[in-house]
Amino acid sequence: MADLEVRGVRLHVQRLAAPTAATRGRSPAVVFVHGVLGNMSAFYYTLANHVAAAGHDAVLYDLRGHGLSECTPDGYLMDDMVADLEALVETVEAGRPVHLVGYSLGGTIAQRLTLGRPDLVASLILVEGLVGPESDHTRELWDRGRMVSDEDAATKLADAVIAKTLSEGRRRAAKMRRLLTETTFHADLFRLRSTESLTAPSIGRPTLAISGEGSEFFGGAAKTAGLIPDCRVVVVEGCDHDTILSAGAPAVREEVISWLDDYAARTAEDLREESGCHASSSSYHP
Amino acid sequence: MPADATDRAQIIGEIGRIVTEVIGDDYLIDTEITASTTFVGDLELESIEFVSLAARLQDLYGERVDFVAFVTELEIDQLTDLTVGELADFIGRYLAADETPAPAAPASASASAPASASASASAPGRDG
Repeated sequence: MADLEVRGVRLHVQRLAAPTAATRGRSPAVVFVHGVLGNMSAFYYTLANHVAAAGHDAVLYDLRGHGLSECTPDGYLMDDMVADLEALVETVEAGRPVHLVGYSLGGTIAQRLTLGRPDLVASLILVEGLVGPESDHTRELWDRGRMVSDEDAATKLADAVIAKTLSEGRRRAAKMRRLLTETTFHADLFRLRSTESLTAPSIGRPTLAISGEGSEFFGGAAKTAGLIPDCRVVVVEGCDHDTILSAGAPAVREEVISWLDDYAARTAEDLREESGCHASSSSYHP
Repeated sequence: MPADATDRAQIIGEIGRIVTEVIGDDYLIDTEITASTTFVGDLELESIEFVSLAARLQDLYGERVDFVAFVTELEIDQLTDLTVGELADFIGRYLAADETPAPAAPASASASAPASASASASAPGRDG
């Protein structure tokens, strides 16, 4: 799998299959949603292959305009990105529920899909993905972004992003500049009405929220996590929002794989119980 | 096509061909790809492009090569120094292991061939 047309857009999709037939398909596939201005490699090297090696099918994709996906001139509203993910899950897993793993704003996309289509989601894993409205940092960042939604601001943001990721190379830099200055991405992103819309506390699926101890979003994340009914909160020491998938990767791997294994074990147990009940009821009614 | 699919030079040739596909001819002018060529330093391959390279190699060699194991054992700083020859050797080891067949199973050997695209097209006849 490499290119997949979803809602008329060519998305770069990779599936990392579980290594043996014995483990393959034993639990829902795991779909990774990277953050804005990133790409699937954020998860590929540090988490997704490890998840696959542990026996879970991993599916990664680049958001439209990002990585090796098509850079469309428009369609970067949160609703568009959620609809892309919804169509992707329906296509690659034929409507079977998946575990969603979202980093940063990818976590917001994953939360939105969980709210809108809970039937497609087995569980939700948010890696620095609870960008709580209570955080001063979030509010400041968002207000600043919304105020400067003109072309000049997009160019300045492009310069800043490219300077920050210069080591990633000139082709990525060119793509970032195109996304930020030649599409509606910047304006669409900041069209979200408020920071309130970044979080979805009424999530009805088991949720694992992993935050970096030094994250600027940490305060808001902790408060928001408390509002989610079935949420396990994990704090990883020695990392922040930007470094949780590098410095924090070993701890994140351990938590995520343990979460997925537990889910698979519970599902297997439920199935055994179901078949056990079925057998005993048939013995009462031979 | 040479019968020996584990031939190192052939694998390096495949890697070079796919790198060109991934990053385009324009960026590879005057860059000869050899065993000692580094992906990041010499070819300026970006992290997302290495993902695409690995996926295309997986398509080419199929389940005979475990790229999941390769990436999980790779530290990020190792990727920076990774050479074409090192990747070719990794692939070669898997292919060599795969070609130590059970002595009398020529007919069933072809069953897995279609999934492995062009590289495996000549394999069933060789051992058969």
